[in-house]
Amino acid sequence: MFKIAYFSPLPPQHTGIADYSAELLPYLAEEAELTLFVSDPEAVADELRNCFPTYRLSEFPHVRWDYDMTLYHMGNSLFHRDIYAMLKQYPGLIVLHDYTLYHFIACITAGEGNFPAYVRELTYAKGHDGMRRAYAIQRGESATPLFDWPLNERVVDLSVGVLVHSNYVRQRLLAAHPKALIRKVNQPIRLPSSRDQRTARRELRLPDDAFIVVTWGQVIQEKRLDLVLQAFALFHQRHPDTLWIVVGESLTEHAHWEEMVQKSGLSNDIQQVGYVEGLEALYDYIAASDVCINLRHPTAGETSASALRTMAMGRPVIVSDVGWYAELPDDCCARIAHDGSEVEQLSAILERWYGQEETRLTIGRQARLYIARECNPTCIAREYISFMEDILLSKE
Amino acid sequence: MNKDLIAELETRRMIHEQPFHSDKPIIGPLIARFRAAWNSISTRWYVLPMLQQQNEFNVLLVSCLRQMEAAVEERLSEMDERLIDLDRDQTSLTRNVAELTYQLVRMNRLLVAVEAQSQGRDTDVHEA
Repeated sequence: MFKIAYFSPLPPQHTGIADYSAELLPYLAEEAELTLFVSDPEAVADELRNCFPTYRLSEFPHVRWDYDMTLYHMGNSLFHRDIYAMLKQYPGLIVLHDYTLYHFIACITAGEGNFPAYVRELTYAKGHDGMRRAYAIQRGESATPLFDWPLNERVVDLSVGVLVHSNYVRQRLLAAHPKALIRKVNQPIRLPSSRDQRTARRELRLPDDAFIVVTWGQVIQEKRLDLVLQAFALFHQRHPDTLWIVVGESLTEHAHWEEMVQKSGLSNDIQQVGYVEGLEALYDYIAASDVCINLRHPTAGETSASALRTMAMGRPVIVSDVGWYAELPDDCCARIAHDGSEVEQLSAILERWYGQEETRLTIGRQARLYIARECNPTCIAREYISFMEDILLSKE
Repeated sequence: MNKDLIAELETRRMIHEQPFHSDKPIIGPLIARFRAAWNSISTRWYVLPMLQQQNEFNVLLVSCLRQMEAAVEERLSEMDERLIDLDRDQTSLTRNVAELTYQLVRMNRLLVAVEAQSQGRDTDVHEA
């Protein structure tokens, strides 16, 4: 059996990648022997610590020869700081959750006062242009290339293989790194048990007869709740029986969100739930919804667990027509283009779906089938192992 | 090198004769004219060639500094280039070492398995 050293944010850390790992680990454990390496083993959720040997990151260098492969989960957030430091020393297979790592790299370098390290990273990625841009940014003469320069070059160059979750990211990476070993696997999603909408609403004390729109996940600028708010305002004017529930913590960087809600005059028709502990509680909110909205623009090349879980629960979802979202089958969701007419598109879809319960149910059913077929964690765990075998046997 | 300083030197490299001037009321222009006349008799013929020498020196100095600046920039750019290459090479080497480590671990396991198998065979032969 394969022995894998596993590096990832883990619950109770508030990041989708922690939930991803919690979901994948039991299935991966059927195919391989896993050891978890984390900054603070004491902080890991008991249900994981009781199932898997969990060690401090600093112990890995001494035992690294015991493992057939090291698996790192990398994403564009500070939860990956220690993981990145380890992978720079002892590279392995990398699961790249975001195409863009710019925010993360900028935070751990310039963000912590280490400007030379920031220059080094931009230079590594873009050569002299990167160096010039870094100094221009320092002088305030240039904007930060938040989404234009992904700064994933070093991570990809270090990896012995890269797993990604979309063709969008795979093709982009291959264009820049033609020799890299890159494979696409879908994000694993365990199919939740179906829940009755009425029961979920009763449990959450939500009105039975309202048309409920749900958005969930961290409230950040890229989720474009500003557009959803405008569209909802239009929609609500025509249908006062509608309610919008915002589930997820609001990050400080998006503090003006509260202000926007106040100004809209819809405070009574928008319910802000904040961070909800545990997947089951999230699924309750999805089950209670009629429609979920999950926009992302600009995209950092991420996969949206929120969208996938909505689909898994069999609810219709409206997504952005960008990156990975554009790869979702047409009959499982509705998409809007970010071309300036987002509000009109959104309110038109809401209007259409408002009066067509059968359409909503059909899309939800198709979506759930898609998740059952394409995001099966057992199959995906096997794909992980198969990729590792191919790397070791140099089959790729 | 400080580019602004060199640019400042460049703009101020030529020394020019300054006209005499007096702020005294009424007789000021007279004084200035007298000084200019006296200067053209007593010191101008002596100072002007020196001014010329100084200007030539200044031009040479600025041009020299410009050349040095270009050379330093070129060297720095070469060094940057080498550092970029070194950084990329180091990354590539780190990756290669990792790949070799994984292969070595795999070979070791295979070796252990082969040894165990051959020991099993030896035992079978002895027992037979």
